[in-house]
Amino acid sequence: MTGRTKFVFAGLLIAAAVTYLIVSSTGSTAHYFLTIEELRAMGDDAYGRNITVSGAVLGDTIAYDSSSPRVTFTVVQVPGDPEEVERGGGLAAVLHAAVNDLGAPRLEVVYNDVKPDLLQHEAQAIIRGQLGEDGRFYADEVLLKCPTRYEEDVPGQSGGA
Amino acid sequence: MLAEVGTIVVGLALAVALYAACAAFWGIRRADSCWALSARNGVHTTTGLLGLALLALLVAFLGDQFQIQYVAQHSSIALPLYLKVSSVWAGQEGSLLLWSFLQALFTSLVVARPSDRTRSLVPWATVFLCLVTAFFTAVTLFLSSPFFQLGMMPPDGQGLNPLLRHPGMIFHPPALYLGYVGLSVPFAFALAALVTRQVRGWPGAVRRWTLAAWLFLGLGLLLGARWAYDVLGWGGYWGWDPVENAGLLPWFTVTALLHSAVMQERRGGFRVWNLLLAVFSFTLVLFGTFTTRSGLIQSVHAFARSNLGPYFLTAIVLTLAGSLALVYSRRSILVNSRPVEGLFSRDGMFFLALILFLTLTVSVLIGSVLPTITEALTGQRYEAGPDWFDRVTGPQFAALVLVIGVCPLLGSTASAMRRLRSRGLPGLLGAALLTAGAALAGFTQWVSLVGFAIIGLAGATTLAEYVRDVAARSRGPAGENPLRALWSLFGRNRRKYGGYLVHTGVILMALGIVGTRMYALETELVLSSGKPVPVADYTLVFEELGGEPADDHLSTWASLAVYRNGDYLTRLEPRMDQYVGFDQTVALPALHSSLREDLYLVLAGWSENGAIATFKVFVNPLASFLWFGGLVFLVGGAVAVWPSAREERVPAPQARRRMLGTNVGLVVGLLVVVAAGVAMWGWGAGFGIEARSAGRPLTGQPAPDFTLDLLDGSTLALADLRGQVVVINFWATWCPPCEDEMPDLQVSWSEYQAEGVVFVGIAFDDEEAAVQKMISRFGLTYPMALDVGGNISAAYGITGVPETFVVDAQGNVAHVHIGPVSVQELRDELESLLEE
Amino acid sequence: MGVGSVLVGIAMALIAGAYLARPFRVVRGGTDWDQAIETWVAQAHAEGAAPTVVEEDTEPVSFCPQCGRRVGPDDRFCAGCGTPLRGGAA
Repeated sequence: MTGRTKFVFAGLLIAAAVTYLIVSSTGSTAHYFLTIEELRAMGDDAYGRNITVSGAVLGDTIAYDSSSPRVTFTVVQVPGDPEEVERGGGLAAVLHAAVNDLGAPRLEVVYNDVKPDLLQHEAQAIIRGQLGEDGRFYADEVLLKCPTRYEEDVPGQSGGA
Repeated sequence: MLAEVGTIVVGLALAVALYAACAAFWGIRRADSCWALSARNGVHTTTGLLGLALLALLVAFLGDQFQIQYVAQHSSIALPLYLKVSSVWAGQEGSLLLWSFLQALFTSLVVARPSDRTRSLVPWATVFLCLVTAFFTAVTLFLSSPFFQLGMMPPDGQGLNPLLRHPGMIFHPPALYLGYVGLSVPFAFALAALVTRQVRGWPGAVRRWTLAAWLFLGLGLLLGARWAYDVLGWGGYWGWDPVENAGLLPWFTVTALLHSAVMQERRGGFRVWNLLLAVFSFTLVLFGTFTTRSGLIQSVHAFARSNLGPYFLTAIVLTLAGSLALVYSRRSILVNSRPVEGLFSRDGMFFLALILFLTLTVSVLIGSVLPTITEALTGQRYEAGPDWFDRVTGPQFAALVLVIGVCPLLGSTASAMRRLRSRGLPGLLGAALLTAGAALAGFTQWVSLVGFAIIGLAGATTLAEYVRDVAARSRGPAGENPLRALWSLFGRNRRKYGGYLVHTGVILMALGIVGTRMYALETELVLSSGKPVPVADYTLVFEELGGEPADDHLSTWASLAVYRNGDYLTRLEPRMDQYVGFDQTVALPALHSSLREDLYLVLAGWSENGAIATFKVFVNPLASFLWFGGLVFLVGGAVAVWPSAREERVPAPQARRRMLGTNVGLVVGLLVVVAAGVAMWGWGAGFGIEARSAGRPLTGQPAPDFTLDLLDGSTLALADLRGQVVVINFWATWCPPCEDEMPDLQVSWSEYQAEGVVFVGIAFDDEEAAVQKMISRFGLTYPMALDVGGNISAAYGITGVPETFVVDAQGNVAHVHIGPVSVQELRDELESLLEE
Repeated sequence: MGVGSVLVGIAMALIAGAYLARPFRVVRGGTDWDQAIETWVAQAHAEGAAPTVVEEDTEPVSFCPQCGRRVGPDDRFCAGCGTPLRGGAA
């Protein structure tokens, strides 16, 4: 093998290894990324899977027991399609509309951890966890963002898994 | 008026930038130096105008001009001065203006004093740089102006987001922007090289620019990570958030560019690599900005603004398409047919490193857009969480560290085996030692042991290189002592040794990453005051809760005494700041760092009466290596960038001016590194209070002995009371809660005196007269004394009054009360102690 | 848009325009400030005032627009890359 071919071969080998890493990680650790509607639509399929669901937080449903610690709150359906969000007037407007929409699907979330700083009314929540048999969503991680307030590069604040 | 002037000035700057691009182009076309000079003047004019605009914005902030929407959104009357300054770049509009200004400034620096090597490329580079400046200025002016005025003037602004009030967040965006803007320079020169067909020397010509941009980008990333660690309070420093990845992606490609540039200088190859890497780096900068300010990646991670998206996307597509077309059109001069070395040579390792950087870039890119990709391919949207990124990038990073370790061992292929044998020993020793040491220290996961082996190999090999080179100098005819030898090595070949230092930093950081990512412990604890709770090697005693109202927030703090293996270590005060105006709380962790690990405490909640508090506790092993490694990394980068006087032979007057420039650069550089160091070592977060020589004894530990002169004239020694239960109460007349508990103590004393329980009251920092008054006021009959000299209080490690220690018949502390004690509590405790 | 702002804007545009046009002005023989300054410096010399700094750029400087190499004021071609030059500095 000429020198050049060896280089190309080595490069391809590494690329193949990385591709394998990506595909296998997607299969095992990646989460289904769903809206509440889609989660409901999955029906029984949803139980036991790693799921990431997004929604808008309803402020008056936040209940915190600091001695466990354990926080429960309810989120409302927010569209997952970026175009739909744009058509709705941007993320802030969509979140506002969601929390005021009495008919939109809701999901109760249980998070056995300290109450995240950013958990407040109209915040956008991305929740990673599993759907419980009781219909409530048991969260391992809660990622929150308030788009109306902070415009600069504040990374999402996540509670650890 | 300020806002109007600002808008006009930005508009003018845009016009002049466009003019400068055209003039530079015309000057080239017509070979007319008048146009070229006019373009140069245009560049400086743009910088001046944008600087004026930035100044106007700054003045608006300092002058509380809340009729300007941007000022109202990010500032308030009560905000301290230095935060008003940093608010300028707290939001998108202001940061884009800052970006535009920096872009113009860098263009000015490029055209001002072209060195001999860049001179031939500067004309075309000017064209491209002016176009970039024009783009950012146009975006600022038309889409995202910080000078937009409200119809009226609100009485006060909304104030700065509490999360941004930290030195890390003050320096982090400017550092990042300096990196981003700096990357436009190699990009412009790459295109200029292509257009003028001078593709051989351009990477060397812009090497300093590339290095500086890389260094600032790295600084920005490290500062962001440290800020996340200090302020966000989730125990980690990197969440693979798209905002974070936006800065990481170009950093990968620039690091690759730095290495392949070395290859081109040495061997003449890698021409296409260098050109493409420069183009990709800049494109990724645009991509990063675009994704964090638009709705592309996922609506859930992005910001509300979606109007910038299409314009950035267009810019990215145009840049990529145009650059690639240019590369293709010049392909004939880009082919290098020089024979290559084998794979197991230094060149081969460089090549492997380049491949790895590329795969890392692609991996992180794919992870960021995974929902879009998976939806297109499979119909189901998947999201890549931190585990996905760790799993995919972890092995690639490990491979990179391995390359760092193996590279110095290889020369040209022919002698590879021989060299390996003679030079490989330190590396193998290092790998074995570190792995064994780690396993003994308790790090036993096999994946991490592989990591430790690689780190040990790389560390030992790099160290061996230093030692070998220093030894060579010391042994030679000059015979310098080792330290001087090291100093002159660094002085003479800053590039090489700066690079070694950077690699050392990376190795140390790798150590920190393995420890913190694989062995971190996280738990929630509910603590009652005075009661010790064990966590890992530590014992935590929650002492008390306090509150401090400040201008716009209420700060609640909890103090905890920390013991390690029974010995008092330090006192930590995590805080929670509640901002009423923002309806938000910020939990500021308290941190104790040691070589082995970081103990990281977050206050999460508390009971009404302050006797119970909830904490999140993180133990992050090897975290200090991460931050220290980061500092070494930055210092190494600074050394590599540093101009050496010998490199450029210039006549005397110019040399003097260059020296001034160098000295100014030196001071600025040092300030930046010091600022980074301070920010990185957690100035903003809670500091552990200095460990005192004796902390409070833990329950189960012997109560420190003392001998007291009681007020009634007799003496009392604790040792004499062995066999009896003793209640020691520290108090003071100037302490209201002490007054509250006095009746309780007297009642308890009268109840249990007959059973042989001894009560002792020790007045801290007090006067006899006042004490006697208190005694007669409450009719206290138990032994009382003054702690003359404060020695007993110090021995018991009290941090305030009142504090009560209940000592059992064996002389060990059975219960600790921090704060007032009640009759019922004493009853319960004494009953159970007397039963024994 | 206030009158003050407009005036400031116009003033700045004029200054910028003058600075941008400067290289052309010198060629086309307009008001030659550089010439005037040179004369003043010469007079100061003659009167014994000590010029302290020998400015690097006492005469208008020219660079080849193609390769950037410094060229003399009367050059018709660049010595570095051979590009024909037009409008060299006076």
